Amino acid sequence: MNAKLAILFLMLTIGTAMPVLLGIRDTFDVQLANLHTGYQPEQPIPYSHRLHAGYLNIDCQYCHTAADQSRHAGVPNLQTCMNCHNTVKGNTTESKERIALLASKFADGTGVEWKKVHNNPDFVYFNHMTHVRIAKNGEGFTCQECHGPMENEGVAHQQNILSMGWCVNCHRTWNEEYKKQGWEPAAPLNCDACHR
Amino acid sequence: MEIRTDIRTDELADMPEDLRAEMEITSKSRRDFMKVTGMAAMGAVIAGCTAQDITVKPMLRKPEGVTPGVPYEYASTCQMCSANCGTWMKVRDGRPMKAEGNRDHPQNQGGLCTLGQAQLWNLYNPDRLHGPWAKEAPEGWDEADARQQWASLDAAVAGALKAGSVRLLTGTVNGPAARAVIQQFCDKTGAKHVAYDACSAWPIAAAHRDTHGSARIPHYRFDNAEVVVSFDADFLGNWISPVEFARQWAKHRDLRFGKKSMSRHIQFESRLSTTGACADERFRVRNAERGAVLADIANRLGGNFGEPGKHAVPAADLERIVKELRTAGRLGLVVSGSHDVKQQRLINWINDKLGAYGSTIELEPYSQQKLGNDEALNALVKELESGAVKTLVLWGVNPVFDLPNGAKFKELLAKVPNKIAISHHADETASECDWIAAEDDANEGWNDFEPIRGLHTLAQPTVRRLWDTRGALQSLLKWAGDNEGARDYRAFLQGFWEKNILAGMAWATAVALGVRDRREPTAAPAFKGAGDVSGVGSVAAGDGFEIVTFESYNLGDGKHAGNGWLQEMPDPLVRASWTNFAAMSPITMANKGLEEGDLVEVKAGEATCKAPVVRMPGAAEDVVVLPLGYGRTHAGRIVHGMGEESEAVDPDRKSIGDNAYPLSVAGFGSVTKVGSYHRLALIQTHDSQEGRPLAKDTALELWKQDQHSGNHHEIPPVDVTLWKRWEYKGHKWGMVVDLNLCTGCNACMMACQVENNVPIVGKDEVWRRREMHWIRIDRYFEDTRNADGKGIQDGNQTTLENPEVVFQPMMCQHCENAPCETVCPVIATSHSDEGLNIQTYNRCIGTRYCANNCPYKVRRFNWFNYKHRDLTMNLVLNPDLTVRSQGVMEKCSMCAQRIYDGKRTSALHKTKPKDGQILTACQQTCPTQAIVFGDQNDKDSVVAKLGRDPRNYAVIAEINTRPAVTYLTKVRNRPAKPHEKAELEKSHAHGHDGHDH
Repeated sequence: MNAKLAILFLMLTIGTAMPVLLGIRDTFDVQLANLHTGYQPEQPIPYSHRLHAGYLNIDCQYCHTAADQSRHAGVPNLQTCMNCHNTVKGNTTESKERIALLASKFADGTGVEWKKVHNNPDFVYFNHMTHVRIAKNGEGFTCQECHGPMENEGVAHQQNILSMGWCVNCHRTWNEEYKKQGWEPAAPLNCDACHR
Repeated sequence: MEIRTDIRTDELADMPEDLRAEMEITSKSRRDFMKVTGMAAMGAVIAGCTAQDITVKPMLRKPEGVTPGVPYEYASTCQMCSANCGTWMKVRDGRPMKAEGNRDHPQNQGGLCTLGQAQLWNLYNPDRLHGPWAKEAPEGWDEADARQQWASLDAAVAGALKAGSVRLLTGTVNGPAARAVIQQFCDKTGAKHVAYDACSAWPIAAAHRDTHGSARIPHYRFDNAEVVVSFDADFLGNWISPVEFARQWAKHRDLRFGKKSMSRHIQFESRLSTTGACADERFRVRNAERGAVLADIANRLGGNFGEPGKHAVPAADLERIVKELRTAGRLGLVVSGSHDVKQQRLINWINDKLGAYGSTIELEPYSQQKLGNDEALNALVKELESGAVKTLVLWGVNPVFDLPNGAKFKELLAKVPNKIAISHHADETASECDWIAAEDDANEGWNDFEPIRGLHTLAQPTVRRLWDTRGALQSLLKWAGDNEGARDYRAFLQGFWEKNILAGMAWATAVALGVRDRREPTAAPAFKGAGDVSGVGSVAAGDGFEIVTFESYNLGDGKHAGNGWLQEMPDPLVRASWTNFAAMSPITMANKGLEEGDLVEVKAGEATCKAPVVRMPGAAEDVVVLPLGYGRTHAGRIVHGMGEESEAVDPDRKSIGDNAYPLSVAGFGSVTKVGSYHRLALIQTHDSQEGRPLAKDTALELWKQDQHSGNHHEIPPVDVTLWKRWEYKGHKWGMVVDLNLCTGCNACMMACQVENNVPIVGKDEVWRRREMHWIRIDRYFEDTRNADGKGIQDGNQTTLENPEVVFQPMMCQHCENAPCETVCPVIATSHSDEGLNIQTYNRCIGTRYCANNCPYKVRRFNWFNYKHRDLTMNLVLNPDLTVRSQGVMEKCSMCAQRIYDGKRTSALHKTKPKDGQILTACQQTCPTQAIVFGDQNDKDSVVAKLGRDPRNYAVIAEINTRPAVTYLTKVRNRPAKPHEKAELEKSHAHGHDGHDH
């Protein structure tokens, strides 16, 4: 009885909340920011981080080359994939198919349109290079500290909430550490550090 | 408000017993249940979000050395006017984002003018031609196939060129390879090349042909001049090479860093120009009287040029100026924008007499920035009249619009059997031709220039062609039969440069630097005598108004009328945007019964121009001043649909303003009121400072006595604040603007607009005072007295005859005690620990309290979404900062994105940004380096040093806003006026307590 009622309420809530929320979003063109935790879009090719970064132990920046140079970490260009997949053709039917699809998209120049997993709102100016190379007195954060253990998952999904509170808390926590160690520059808490 | 305490938290308490039993929900389980439903709601939110997938498509192959999101700078050459300054084009992810002056370029040394900054509009302008154009599409013309269209056009042109008697009409072409291409074209087709400039400097070249035996425009060296006397030469505005001249001029006007002397700058002019506004002394001389003043000066210097006619300049003043010139000798310089060759010969005589040649005027290496030849143009018009020309090729010129007899040219053009244009737009002239070979934008192709003899510069493509256009030189090579050169112009250019120009330098180095400087001192031609200057001192008589036209400060010669940024840029002096105008002295207006906003028709013979009257204090009496460049009808959508003005002028006409070129040679004409015109989009309507010390000035003489002169505070600030004083432990960013160097050129405004995604709002919104510029240049007419000792105040407006002008760049002052921060109900505007006042757009709800509480009026509100009407224009947006939307307040951020970029770059090396490493957009482009930005906490930084300068002050410091932006008093190199002396004495009597340090 309890379980039935719970399910009923659940469905009712979803039934009413969904259209309202979607309505709000569509009417006001609001991006419901940073509530994407768990977002795992279906990718044109179900690339596995677990296989590449985990099992094969390929460095994150072998593919995301710009992470230490630019605002963007960069989605790898297809040539990077083909560096290996020119020879690595796959050993199961499924993987052979996927690699063949990749190769054909490279060969005919159409490219692959990936679904972006981590989406900051337009008014947030996050910079990868700062966090990878400057933070922690130059030591930098590991990718996993924000993105979670990507090397353990199949198709990528957003593991942390990436909300403003999440960012600011980290900045605050680390500033304490910075103060202790006498490091510079501290993690900024000014609005214009991210919003400009 | 009473707070209720009786709200029951357990709503099940009142539930009937049986129902309660049926539901069997305990309070504990209910909480769990709420958790579950809450999660479900969260799930719904997530589901709602994931519906919007954002896709990202990486490149197939990443170009080597290019990282996504990282901007790169490519050296190139600005082609907005023929001054051809060096640029660094900032390119990010394959698209040019911002043009900056090339700091290593000997000519402009990092500065760039308004036009140069606005060049990206021209690149992304969706209204330019997307491919070849045919007046009548020939058989087989395939709308969808540009390759076929080009083939079709080339075949037709080849046929037309065979008809013989070909003429090629262009603007200034000074590039060595470009000239070689033209030579090749002329050799192959038997064409004759004619060049002209709409705003010509030919009289200067013609005069030097007569006095020095070589038709050339000298390279002026204002940096060597200690006394500059200018007759209507607007060398800080747009005369020949304004950025270079402004930088040179500023070198001798700079009183920062312990410098004690300034050059003297005396201006004789009919209208009020920016150059005149910056002069130490300014005399109002009508164009008709200019020759008389010149002859008078020349006679006083020992010449004998006949009895000068009657003119307005008092003899005592002339005698004094002549004495100064004589003392300066070879460090003197007399320049003129006169279109009278005899007057120019006399100028040459004066300069030779002073010994200025070889010192402040160089005839070797000389300027090649205006190579137009008016005599050749007139000869071409004669040929057209006689019907001798069978084929006319036009490149980059618009004679139907910009010749005084443009209408006649249009008739003559119609009679030419074959007419081919190379143009960006189907403009007034090109649309009369049979074919238009759509030309690449300056940023899409290779090119070369030689603005000063021996100073070779390159322009390189910074973006792939947006549409199916072709470089003009490629077109000419194609038509000359050089298919290889036409296909790969870079190879042609490289070959030419390696053979003729590089002289040992590697091609790659030349491309990287953008400059190959091979200027060498060579013997300059000697002065041979003034030649025919008979009657130069006579004063032309005429009825009615003297008509004075000038090259518009924002539209160039009219070429850039389709550029929305430039249209919205206000004229520096009359402060009107989106309009041409008939400016005149307020005294003349009063005498003739005209008011600001009256629509008048200026008429001379058949030529007319309608425009609204605006006030120009400082213009000579009975002179009407018309800007050239307005009235373009074929310049894209920007000039259409701006509604009221064009309709007021002529309901059938779709243009902004009326064309004044037909009146540019008229001399005298009539001014008749034909209507009224209220919606004048003026950016500033109040001329006077009302005696308040906002933009301060003093005289050099007094400044030498007391460096605080002009900067004595009557009311010291009372240091009271609601909040705890800010501590700036790290950086404290600040800015110092030297009013002594600001020429009011608007370049900073445009640089800011491009850098910070500042939208344009259109004429109607500007009229409603809703312009969006983050930085503006206030222009004040000084509240001094007329010759008769009276200062006339007519309501808000000064009606002085010849007021002194002061320009004051005004942007967010980044106050320490910011009035805006205190009133924001949502803390969308806050203070950073580095001294910046931050506006957080995503937090702003648009109450506008901050703008109401800002004493500097620098906050801008987005009344609408100012979207680009074509998505191509979005490519110009800077991805490093938000595009603001409706209902959001915005303002100067001191280029926060640049600050963070600079800090990041330094932090990589565990250092702090060096002084001068971070440049704001306005500072970077300033031709005179009047703006300095830096860290005030760094005691050795330039900005901290200037903060200690006795001239330093903050605007309305008495209200204790403690701005991070401060100014330096303007110092005029002229005798002190009695009221200035009195003020200084008064402040000395009170002691020095009120200084603002």
